[in-house]
Amino acid sequence: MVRQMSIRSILLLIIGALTLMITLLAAGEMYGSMQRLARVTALRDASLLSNQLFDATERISVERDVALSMLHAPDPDTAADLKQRLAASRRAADDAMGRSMAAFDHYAFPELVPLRDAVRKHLELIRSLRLKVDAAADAPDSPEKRALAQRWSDEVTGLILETQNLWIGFIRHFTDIDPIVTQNLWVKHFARTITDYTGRERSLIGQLIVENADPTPKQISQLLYWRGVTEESWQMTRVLAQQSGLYAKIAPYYTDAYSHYSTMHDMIRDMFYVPGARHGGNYPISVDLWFELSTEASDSLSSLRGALIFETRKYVQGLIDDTRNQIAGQLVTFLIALILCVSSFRVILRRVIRPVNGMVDALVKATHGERAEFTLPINRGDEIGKLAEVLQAFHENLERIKSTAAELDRSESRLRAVVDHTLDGLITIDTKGMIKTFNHACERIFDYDASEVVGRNVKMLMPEPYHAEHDGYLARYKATGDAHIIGTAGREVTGRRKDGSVFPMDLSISVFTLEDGTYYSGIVRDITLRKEAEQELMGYTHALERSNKELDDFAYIASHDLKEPLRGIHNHSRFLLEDNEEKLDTESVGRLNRLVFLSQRMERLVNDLLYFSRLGRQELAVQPTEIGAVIDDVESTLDHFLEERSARIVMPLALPTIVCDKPRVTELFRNLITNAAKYNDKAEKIIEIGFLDSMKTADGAAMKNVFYVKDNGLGIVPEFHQEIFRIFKRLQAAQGPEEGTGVGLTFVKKIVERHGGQIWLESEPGKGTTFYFTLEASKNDSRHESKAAA
Amino acid sequence: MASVKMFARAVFALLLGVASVGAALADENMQLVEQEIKAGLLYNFLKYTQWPDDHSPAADGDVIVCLFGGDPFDGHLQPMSGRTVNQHAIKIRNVKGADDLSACSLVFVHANQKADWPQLQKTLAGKDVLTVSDFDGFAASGGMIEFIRADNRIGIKINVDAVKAAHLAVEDRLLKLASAVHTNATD
Repeated sequence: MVRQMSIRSILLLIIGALTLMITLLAAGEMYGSMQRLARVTALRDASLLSNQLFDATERISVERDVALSMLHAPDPDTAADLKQRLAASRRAADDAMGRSMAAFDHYAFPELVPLRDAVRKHLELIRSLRLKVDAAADAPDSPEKRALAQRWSDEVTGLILETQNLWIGFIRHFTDIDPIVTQNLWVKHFARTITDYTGRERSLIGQLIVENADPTPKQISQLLYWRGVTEESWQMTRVLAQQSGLYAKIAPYYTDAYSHYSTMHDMIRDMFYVPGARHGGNYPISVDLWFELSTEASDSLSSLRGALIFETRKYVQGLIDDTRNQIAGQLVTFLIALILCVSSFRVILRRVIRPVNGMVDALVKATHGERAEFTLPINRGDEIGKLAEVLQAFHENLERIKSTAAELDRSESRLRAVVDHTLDGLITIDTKGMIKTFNHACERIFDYDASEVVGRNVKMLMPEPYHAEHDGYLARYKATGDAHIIGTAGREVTGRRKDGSVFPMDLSISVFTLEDGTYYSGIVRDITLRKEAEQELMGYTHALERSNKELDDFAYIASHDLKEPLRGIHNHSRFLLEDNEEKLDTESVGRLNRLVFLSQRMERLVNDLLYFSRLGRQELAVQPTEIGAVIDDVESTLDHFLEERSARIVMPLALPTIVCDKPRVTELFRNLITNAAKYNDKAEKIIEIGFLDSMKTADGAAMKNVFYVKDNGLGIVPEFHQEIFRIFKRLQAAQGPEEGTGVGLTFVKKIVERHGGQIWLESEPGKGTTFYFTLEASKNDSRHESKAAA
Repeated sequence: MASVKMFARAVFALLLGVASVGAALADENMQLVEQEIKAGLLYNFLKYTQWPDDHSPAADGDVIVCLFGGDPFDGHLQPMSGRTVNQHAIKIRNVKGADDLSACSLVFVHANQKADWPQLQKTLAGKDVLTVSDFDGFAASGGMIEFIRADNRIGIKINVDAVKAAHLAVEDRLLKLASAVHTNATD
């Protein structure tokens, strides 16, 4: 789950956890403080209650003393006086007790329920006793009255004691709040003890004075004991108050009260213990004065108690305030911690997460190829600022690279367009034969969509046996570099279309190596149409050849078969002439001789025709032939003929050796030389034979490897330049049987054509004629041979 | 507390012993008790009396009790020295002549100074000094508080006019217990 969370969520989680922790800690602290506050508040309330309660008990103790004095009054006047004082003290006691009971109800401490019940029970008894006390006030002294006094005294004292004890039990619950509070509570306790015991002392002394009786030993011991307890309590009060730091605040009240009581003790110290202290049996002080003075003293003690109450209350209130302040402080601390948490979160959010998010968004945009902005709104020198700068720089670099790449892309697109729109198919494969590219022309040629073949083996485009053997070719090429097709100008193979049909194609393969390996590119051209054209042409050629052969055969058969009857005509004509020369007249002899001559001429014509047809029919027997030697040979055979005509052959340069049909080339030169010598009216007939590496014809065509035979003869007018090559065409009338049949140049042309060459002439009538010709079969070797000959 | 009890018993035994010495001592004892009670009352007079604010004992913080003409309390007043009343420390001072009275809050006139009393009274006239004595006719002669004996008990007589004349106030509670003397009425 955490893996999918954004940094913001994680941070939020951490801040949340931190906040929760702070909250829990603060809540714990505050709970403790609240508890303390509740306890301290309870203590304050309890103290208030106790003050009420002890005020009430003290006032009841005064009532008790006055009531006792009244019950013990020696005379009705005294009793009457005390009755008034009793009524006042009773009112005061009731008021105080009423306040206490109200306080009980107000501060409903469950622990105080027993105390309240006890107080209530005692009060009921006390109220019932009051009636009896009032009733007995005027009655004369009697045991019943004394018993009532005792019961009264016991009851009130019981209330006071029980209150004290239960109170101490209750207050113990609070002693753990604060040591000073505890000590102050004890100080108060001792102050109350003083109040209680001085009250008893006052009561007993008042009783003794009223009765004007000597104290019993028990009373004396009580007085001494109370005085001791009181003295001890004074000391304890001071010591504890000093320890708790309370004394400095209550010292004036303490010294006043202590001074007062000490003086009072000094005053009555010897009154009950020394014999003869009484004048005429009377104690030297009236009971009124005694009660007044002792009440006055208890006022001093009240002041002290008031001060104690005030200071303790102030202290407890201080504790409450402190605790409240503490809670407020904790709350403030908590809030500050919370604010710090939130504001640090905001700072981190603003300073870190938002910029980082922005950068991430920008990165995402950049990844999608959009223009992104990484620069922060504020120029920052910290890590994030640097990061933004670096990213911006990266992005700009990337943009530059992208624009370069786009440029490359465009040029590649152009290239691809060229490749795609080229008519030839272009296939690229890797070394495993897997097709990498397949252009539009290929799609057209093979009828496959590029997507159907790219990534598949190129074998799919081949019919058997290439299909099966292609892997072998590639492997062999890879291993040995031995290529079948690779690197060649092209080779005809067969391809297979999608529909399985097979077609001829021209394939040339080249190999190239890129960074990621070696590739083969094949250029494929569908040559079905060309093949068909070739087939058609071949058909025509074959037909033509057949027709030519039939013609040659016809000429041969015709001439061969013609020879037989011709020979018969010739022979029979000669026989007729030889047998009947004497019997026949001159005219008939002349006609027979003419018949013999014509049949002989006819035979020569037929022979020439036969030869001509043979020239077309027979295969050339090519061999390296030294043309110079051929000329020499011809010259020697025509030696007599040339001499007779004063003709000579010149060869300004050595002639090359070429591959050709030697007997026919010899025939070619013999015919040309014969013609050159024959149709020449010059006294000296010069026949020049040569060879030109290159030349230009009269109509401007460039020709190479050209032989020529030049004479200084009659020349030929231009309109006959083609005519002369026709069979049996003669420009001059025959002079005799040896004068020829007119087939010579026809033979020449045929021989040149059979060698794949051309023949043409340039001539000026009266000046001479030059025959030019090429022999294509000789072309490849001619130059080499000519150099060798040279 | 046990020690207190033991102490109390010991004192009790001792006192019983003393008591049995005999009546010879009775008169002396009565004298003693009277002196103790008068000394105690003296303290209470300080307590019940209010001095005017402009001349309260608080001036120097002390209440000075002057014994004019000697100490009639046989030193029983001495323990009071150093105690406080209404938050003022009490000092006991014996004065011989009228010149020393200026700082006194209370002057106790010894009974043997009865003859000098009119002179002293004049000296103190207009001064807020509480005057106390135990000779007969003290209050009647312009003294403020006089110890008397009535029904064999110690009582007090207060000359309200004299108190008023000295700008002092004695609480009603004390006045109720005293027999009042009106100098003006007497005159």
